[in-house]
Amino acid sequence: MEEPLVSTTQQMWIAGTILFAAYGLIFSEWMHRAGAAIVGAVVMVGIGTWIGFYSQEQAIHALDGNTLLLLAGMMMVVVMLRPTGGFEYLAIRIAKWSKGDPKLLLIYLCFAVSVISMFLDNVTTVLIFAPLTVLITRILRLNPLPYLMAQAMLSNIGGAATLVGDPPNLMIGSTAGIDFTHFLLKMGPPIAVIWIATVGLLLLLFREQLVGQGRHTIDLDERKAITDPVGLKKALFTLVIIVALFFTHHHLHLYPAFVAFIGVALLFLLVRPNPEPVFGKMEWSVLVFFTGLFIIVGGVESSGLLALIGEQLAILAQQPGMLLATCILLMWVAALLSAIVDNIPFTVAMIPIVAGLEGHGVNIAPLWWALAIGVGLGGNGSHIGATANIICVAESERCGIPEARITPMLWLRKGLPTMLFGLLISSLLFTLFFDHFLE
Amino acid sequence: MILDRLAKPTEVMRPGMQVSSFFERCIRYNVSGLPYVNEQGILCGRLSMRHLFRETCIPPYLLRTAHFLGDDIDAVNIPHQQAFDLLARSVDPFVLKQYAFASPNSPIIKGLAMMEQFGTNYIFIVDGSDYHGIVTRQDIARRMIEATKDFIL
Repeated sequence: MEEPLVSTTQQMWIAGTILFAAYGLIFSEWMHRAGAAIVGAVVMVGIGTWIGFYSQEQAIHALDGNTLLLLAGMMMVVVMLRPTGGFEYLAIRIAKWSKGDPKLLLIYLCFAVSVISMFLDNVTTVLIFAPLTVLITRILRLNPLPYLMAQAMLSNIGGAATLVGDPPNLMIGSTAGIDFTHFLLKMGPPIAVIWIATVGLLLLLFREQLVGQGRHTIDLDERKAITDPVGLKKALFTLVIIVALFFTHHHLHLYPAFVAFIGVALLFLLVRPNPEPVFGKMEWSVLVFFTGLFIIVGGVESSGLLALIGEQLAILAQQPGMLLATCILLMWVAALLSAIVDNIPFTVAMIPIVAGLEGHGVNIAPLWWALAIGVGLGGNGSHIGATANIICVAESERCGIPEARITPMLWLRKGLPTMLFGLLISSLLFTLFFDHFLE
Repeated sequence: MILDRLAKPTEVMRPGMQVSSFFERCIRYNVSGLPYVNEQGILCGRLSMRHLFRETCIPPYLLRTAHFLGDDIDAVNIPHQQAFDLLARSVDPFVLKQYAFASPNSPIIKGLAMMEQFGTNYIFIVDGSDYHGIVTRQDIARRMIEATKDFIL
């Protein structure tokens, strides 16, 4: 028997108001989002404790330790891998394989960025690849614009394929208890189709810029890019161990976060790095942001508001034949909102709602996949939809090439159709292979 | 040893002067930076060759990739026209507000420490509002060698 929710309406209103105020503060960018999340969390715990719908203990329990520790662990791995020069080596090799062909260069670079983004933080991947891309395209006398935009979009798409590729996936997988292999098996095929379609569309959209300007050699020495060969070998060895454990963690009863920390421990043993730079270069603001969001949404959940919203959604999803429609609706709403605002706060708020539907007898498995696809693709819709986009826009502005500048309108002209095209394909795949997503 | 004995007087840069004048003076005095004074003649900043080149000539994407660049990279080289344009520009946008300075009686070690702290190769010697000159690391090294020779002889 469900508890009547009407009696808690006042608490719900208060919790909802705090949530909207905190999210408003985050999206307004009046202050750093991590700071806004801390303010929101403190207000939620303070007022929640005073009114009686939330407590400090509940706030601690609201933290998703698996997500936070997995993020922290993978950040440390990337911080130790990055200075070795391995990424730069790969980018130069790929550029040389393309033999200066503009279209092949785009495909190869995007493929590399996507694959790396499946296992490592896509922001780091784009941060390293973006300046190299500008350099390589300048040497080939090409406009870097299509390459930068394509890399950001396809790193977002690549990250959507795995449990560890994108923070929303970490949170979804952690709450839903989805293991790495299962996630890849479900998301891999649709993401592969979307990847191919997106590359095809980008080649079409940028066909005028992707024309060769004569034969030019890429005079970059990839061997000199590797600044620490021994460190690189050790880091790659560790990465192989981590990926292997990701694929088997459910059989070994290991949390993904523990797998990441096995890798960190191994790296500390093998590389014995100076800990100060390792910890100093970690993105603490991201971890703090997540912590704040978990506490804010924990308060709203504790007030009963999310359960109420879930009940309304359950009415729709429980109707015969409406589960698919609910999934498609969730996917599109998630994508459109993720194009306008950061997809992480939206995902944090949606997860308890979707999880709560299980209590109403709804099969929530397809909703998880719809949410993951939606927030994964939605980031491509605008220049602020994903951090990788912002990095590529900044690089296009810094490089000092007027024709390479990615303006918000330009992103909308190219990115929005790409996002909508991806969503159409996803919806089609979801409809055709709905059984695939039912478990 | 105090810094004032090593200070070599140089011209100062003033508002509206061109980059070409800055380069010519740097070459003449064998320094990589010069003081910048405002319309009232008061020292208010410095001009640095390194900063100027970084801001105008080196694209950001080359900063982290320089170690594996080959020699056949004409497409990213500085075109003649860009060099002409740069030399004709005013130095005003390139003034750095922070600069290392010491009084004439400051010891050499203080000068070296301040150069290190500010990441420069020189320090201005200033007495109140009077600019005495500039001391570089080369000047200090030269003085060390001379002092050692004097001691041996």
